[in-house]
Amino acid sequence: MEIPGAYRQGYEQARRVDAATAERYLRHVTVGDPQADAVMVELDKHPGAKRHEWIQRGIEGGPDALADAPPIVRDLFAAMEQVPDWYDPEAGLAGCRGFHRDSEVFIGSFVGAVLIEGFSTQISRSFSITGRVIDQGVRRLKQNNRHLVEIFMPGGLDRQSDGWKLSVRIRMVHAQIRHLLRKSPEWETAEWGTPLSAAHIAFATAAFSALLLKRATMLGVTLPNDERAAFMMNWRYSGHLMGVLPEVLFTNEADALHFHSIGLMCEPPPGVESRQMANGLIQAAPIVAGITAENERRKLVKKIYQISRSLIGDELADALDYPKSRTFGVLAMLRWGNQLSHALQRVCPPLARWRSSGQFQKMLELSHFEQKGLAYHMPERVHAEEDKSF
Amino acid sequence: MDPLSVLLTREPPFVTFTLAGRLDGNSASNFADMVAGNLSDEDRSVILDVHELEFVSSAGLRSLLGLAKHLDKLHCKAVLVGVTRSVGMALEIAGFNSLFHRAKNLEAAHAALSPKSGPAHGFFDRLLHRETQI
Repeated sequence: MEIPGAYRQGYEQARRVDAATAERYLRHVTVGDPQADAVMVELDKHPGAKRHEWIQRGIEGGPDALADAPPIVRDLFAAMEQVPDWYDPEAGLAGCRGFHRDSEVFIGSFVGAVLIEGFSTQISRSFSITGRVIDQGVRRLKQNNRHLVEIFMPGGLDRQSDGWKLSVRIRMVHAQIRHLLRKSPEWETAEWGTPLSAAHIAFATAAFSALLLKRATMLGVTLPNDERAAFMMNWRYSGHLMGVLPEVLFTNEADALHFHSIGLMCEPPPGVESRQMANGLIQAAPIVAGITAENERRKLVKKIYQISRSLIGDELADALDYPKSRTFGVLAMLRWGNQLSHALQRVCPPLARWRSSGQFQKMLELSHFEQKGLAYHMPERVHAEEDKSF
Repeated sequence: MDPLSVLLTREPPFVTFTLAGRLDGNSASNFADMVAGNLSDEDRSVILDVHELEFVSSAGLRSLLGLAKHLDKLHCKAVLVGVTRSVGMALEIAGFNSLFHRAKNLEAAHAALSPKSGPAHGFFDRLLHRETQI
């Protein structure tokens, strides 16, 4: 097996813990999304406007709307119409309830911990090269939030629903960025593997699901078993739609956490790009929340650093060059606060309704909505600053 | 093709918007524009007939929220008629159950919107009250 240079040391360490999973992870560091990648190679032969049009028609109308498209494009969208046996939309409703009951805490955990932990890996490298989080950080964060909200709407992952379409759009964008980076002299395949590799997409999906549940639990969220299982199933299906290969797509929460932990061992320690992404994300978070006044923004950034450090631990926080801050009691206070809030809502239903509504409205403010319908333009250039279309 | 069709009917004093299809990222913006563009200053009683509305996404809920706030500013009373299971669940998990009053059918909606049924509750009042089933 060919091991990219950046992974040699970590792989040796991970093999001692679980050789099979480590080997599976490493094999997929040099693999992308074969079917979608082949489509992007084909689409590259056609004018940009036609590419966008086919992708739009494929997502909106499926293979039947692609009579004039190359067969490889039709085949990709035909494959995506197949719903895996393990996905049960009715059972998934419990996951929707679980997410939205505490969406504020989930989003906080997502930004303050899960995304940061993702950026601590080589995942940050492609973002750093393209500049897509640096230049368009607020928009990217809001798009992430929108995707999360939609996959947890009742029916949100049905074929014609926004959660389905956004998941598939993500797959297309990933494939296109991978295609652009593969052609770019900036990408060092021998050292870093495949850009936006199958391992990384799987790692991120495991993090956005199981690790998110874990971090939210640290902040006082308690989901009953059926809601936890449904939460994971919805993410598993979204991961499937995003092109996570079956060999690395988790089956349940424990599997996802284990894959994530082995993947993390395989990854090299955080470098310049990771520090840049993690700190940039925290600095951008208040702006996403609409807080631009300088004093208020600084106070919130300081608070986010403190909570994030408490969630991810001192070792990673120091590796990411976080400012020092006290963590003693921080998580406990937040947990008690959330648990008290839940207890009050149980005895005061109007308060529960008020909180639900307020949380959802906040989620809407933190999410990206296009002016006129879902947009399907694909990136045309490696660097965000050169790409007017995306 | 717009996944949502909206039919406007006027039976004074009632204005009824009948929605069919999906209120989602592709249709929400047009829906909001259409409703705002067809309400006059004299309209006080609005019915949203959603018995053929199959699905509402967060974009759809966002447009409904915007509509509720807009109607509130115009001192309009509004009633949702024929909420389906799917739409009801979306409203529930978003905490929007009390965004609009609800009625089982058009007759009940007319009764709810009659002057005798009292003034419109404010937007925030409705959020605190139980949903109104007539």
